[in-house]
Amino acid sequence: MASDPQPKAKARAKTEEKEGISAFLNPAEMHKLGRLVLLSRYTVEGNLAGAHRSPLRGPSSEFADHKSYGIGDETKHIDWRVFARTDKYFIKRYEDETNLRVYFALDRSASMGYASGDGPTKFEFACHLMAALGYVIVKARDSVGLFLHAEKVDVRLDAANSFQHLNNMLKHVQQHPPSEGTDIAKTLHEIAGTIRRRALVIVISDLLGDEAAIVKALAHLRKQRHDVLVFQTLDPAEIDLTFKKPCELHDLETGEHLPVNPRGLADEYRKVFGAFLEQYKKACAGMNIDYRLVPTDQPLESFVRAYLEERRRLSR
Amino acid sequence: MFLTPFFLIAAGVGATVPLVLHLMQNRKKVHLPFPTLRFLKLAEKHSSRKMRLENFLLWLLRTLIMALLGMAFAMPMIRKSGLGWLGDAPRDVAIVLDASYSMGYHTERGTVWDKGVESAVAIIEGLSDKDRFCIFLAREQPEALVAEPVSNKQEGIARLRALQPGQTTSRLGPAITAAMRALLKADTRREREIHIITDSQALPWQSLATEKAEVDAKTAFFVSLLGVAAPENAGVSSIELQPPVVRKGSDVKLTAKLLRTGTAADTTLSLFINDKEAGRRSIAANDPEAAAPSFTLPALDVGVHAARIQTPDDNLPIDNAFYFLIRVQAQMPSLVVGNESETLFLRTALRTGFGRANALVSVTHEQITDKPLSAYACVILCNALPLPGQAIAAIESYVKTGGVLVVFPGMGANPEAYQAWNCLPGMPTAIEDLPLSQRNRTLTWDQPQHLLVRTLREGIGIPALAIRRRLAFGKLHQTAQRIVSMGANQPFLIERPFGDGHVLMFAVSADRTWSDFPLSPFFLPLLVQCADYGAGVGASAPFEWATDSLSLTERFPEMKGAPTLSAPDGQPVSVRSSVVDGRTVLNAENLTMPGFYPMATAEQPEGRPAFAVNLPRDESDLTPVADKEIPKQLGAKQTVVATDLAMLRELIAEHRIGRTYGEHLLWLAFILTVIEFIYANMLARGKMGGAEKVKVDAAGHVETHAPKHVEV
Repeated sequence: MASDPQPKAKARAKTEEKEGISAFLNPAEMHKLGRLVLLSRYTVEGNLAGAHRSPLRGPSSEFADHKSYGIGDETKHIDWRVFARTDKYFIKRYEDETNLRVYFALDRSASMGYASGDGPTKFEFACHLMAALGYVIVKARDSVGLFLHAEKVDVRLDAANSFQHLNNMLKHVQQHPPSEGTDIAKTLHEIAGTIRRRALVIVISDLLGDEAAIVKALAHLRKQRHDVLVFQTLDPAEIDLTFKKPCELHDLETGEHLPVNPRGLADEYRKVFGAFLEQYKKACAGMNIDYRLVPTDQPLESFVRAYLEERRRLSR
Repeated sequence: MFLTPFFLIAAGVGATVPLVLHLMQNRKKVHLPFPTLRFLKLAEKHSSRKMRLENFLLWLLRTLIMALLGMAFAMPMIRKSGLGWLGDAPRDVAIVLDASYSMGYHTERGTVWDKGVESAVAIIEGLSDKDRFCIFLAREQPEALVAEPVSNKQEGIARLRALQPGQTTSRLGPAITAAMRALLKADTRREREIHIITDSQALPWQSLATEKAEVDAKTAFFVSLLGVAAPENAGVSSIELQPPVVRKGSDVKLTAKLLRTGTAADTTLSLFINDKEAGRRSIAANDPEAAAPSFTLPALDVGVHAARIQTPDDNLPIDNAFYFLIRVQAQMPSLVVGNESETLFLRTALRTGFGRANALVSVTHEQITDKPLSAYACVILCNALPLPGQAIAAIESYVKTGGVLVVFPGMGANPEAYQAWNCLPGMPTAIEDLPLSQRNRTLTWDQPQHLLVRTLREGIGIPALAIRRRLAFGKLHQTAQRIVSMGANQPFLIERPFGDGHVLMFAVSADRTWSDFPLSPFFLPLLVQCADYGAGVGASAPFEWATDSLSLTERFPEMKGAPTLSAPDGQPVSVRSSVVDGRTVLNAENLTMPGFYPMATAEQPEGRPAFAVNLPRDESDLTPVADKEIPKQLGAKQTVVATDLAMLRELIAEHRIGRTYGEHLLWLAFILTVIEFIYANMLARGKMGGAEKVKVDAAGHVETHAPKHVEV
């Protein structure tokens, strides 16, 4: 039987002693993560020159298309070879390359504070995940921003390209542990309305809300032409109901109590929960949203590595 | 009834243990946080009925196990039939004791009969003072030893001990019916038991197949099969003399029918004539002719000879000897009636055939009434008709008492001359002259197995005759049969039984005027056969089966005065005299003891063996009955079968008091425990085909999809 998921004093104390990125990543982990890169699968709009494709044309080595010469165009861009063939002036245009702006939408609802056994809570795991990805992003000279939300957006930090900014983000996260209520759909709509330019939005949540509304909110993000990434963090006990003895469970968000016999209920629970996960998986696939389920017992470093490697392959 | 009812309290307490544990378990429930109860509620909604059923089954199993354990230690005593409190009810018991001679079979511990009597005594002694009993003996007809239920045990036991095994066969069906009626007549409110005590022989049960016993559904039947499982017995079941009448100087073959039960083994048959061994046959177990060994009788003087065939001593000695009489008679001549010329071929054939001049006496038809016909083997009429009425009456009387009349037609009599006869097999309609084209005839045997022609066909070939004239017959008498034909619907030789004798009638004459039959190769043997056949017809049986009554008048018609008949043990046999149709008829009674019965008359005061009596040999077949078949044959639901007294006592105790089912309950509890263990484990580990766990790969892809039909 799973033990009471009370915060493990030592682990928590270790995290709370340090602040910022050092609370989540040690130098060795940072060294390993430093070699990775998070690429967007779509064009993004950034402030600075970078490694990501931009919808704009600019000074890069990647040829985009030809354009008829017009007044105001610089003559140095005229393609003389085309002129020789067609006796008309055309200007060669190149793709603009910009930096990536990444926004984390991190759920700090009460349900994210759940952990079975000795493992981390879902929120702790989400923070670690955010720290690792943030480090990779900033290391690649891209920008990171944060929307920390529960029933509403509690913390909003615009995207910036510095480790200090990342450090600040993580400090804010540490200062805001999981709260009581949740309304993911509403907050995602709010985030979609907030981010003006195309960016990469990483949603880290257990998504334990109204699925239809959440899917709509994700669609809203996609409509804004953001590249959306969904990391659903769940506890293994939550996925498979691995308790063995009868117990009385109380809902972390609603405070409701329910006596259950997990032995007899497990099969049916897995069916129901499996169907719930399947809904997100399908909906995300339909919207070209990269959906990943991240159980909290999964080694974080290997997950981040495997995920980024795969994403890099797909982005080529 | 419970032997240790204290444990019933334990059973009651034990039955509540699973419920108490369940309640205590609920009270100690651990409280745990969980992200959301939404999916749990949904799952519970879907599976609550199934879970409740599973929990109920588990609770039921555990309660049953505890209750069964308690009850097993309480040792319940349950009667197979009836209610427990009836164990002390008064009962009427009927004992049916098989009294056939097969009960005399010797076992290691006395005869089966002795064991049967001891069982019956034990049954009576085991009755309480309130109980009553009656006793019936199963014989050919049931015999009541104690006809109505009584309580006097001492008298019943004394009567039983005074009994001797019978010398007849037995039929259980009528005896059971008689016992059943006696019980029902006495008091229908009492408990009823019928105890059938028999050997293991199948024969007495066979009567139930044709004659169902009256069986009451509330009556319990106890069958004691006290015989050995694989009995062995060998005995002669019958004998046959060929020819049936033994003439002095003639060759006689004796064939014995051997009856064997059990594993095939070598045996020996010894023939004793007048207490001297006259022959011996060793019969191998695998001898194909073992069932019918034969002896050739030695030359015997005229007279009655007491003979027996003896088998070696075995476990059933009563059927080891088979008694019979050999009645040797002097050679009897045939009477040929007709003129010399017409009987020439006939006389020559008979003298040649029998090899002696006195084989026949030839007379003319005028002289026939001068002769006492009983002194002749047969009477042959050759163109002797018409005869005076007195002669016809004498001849018909002769035939009635066992004589044989052979009729050859001739031109001396027209068809009307035959009308005066009553014994003829067919009435002639015409003397028919056949055209030349129809004269050549081939004879056909209509009754190839008839004694007259049975041996005649061999070596003669197809008999063909030239027939110039024949006697045409109308419709044959209803008891007549055609033995030889000379064409379709044209009889050549016909026969009719008349009284104890027979009448043979040819369609052609005995001389050459009608056909060349007298010159044919089968004229001589056929005539000799006719004379021999006549000799055999009047033969009396060489032995009798044991019987209650036997007519002396029929067996010895010439006997005058009242005879004195003795049993084999020298005791006088009762001879009863009665008048039937104005005639005095003598009957010997109770000829049930096997052996020779000498009879003395006024003419022969010294006495001579009159009968050889044997017990019916059906009873010698000891083929055992199958235990399982008995309840079916009886048609009674409450039937138990015991093979010895100890087992019978146990079964009676089980029936009357009951038996403990504690061990059965323990086994049942054990089986339920195993089932509970398997079921509980199956539920704990999840059933086969249950929802699989969600699998996630290293990059966060969900690998296993949940069923699509679940609504979330």
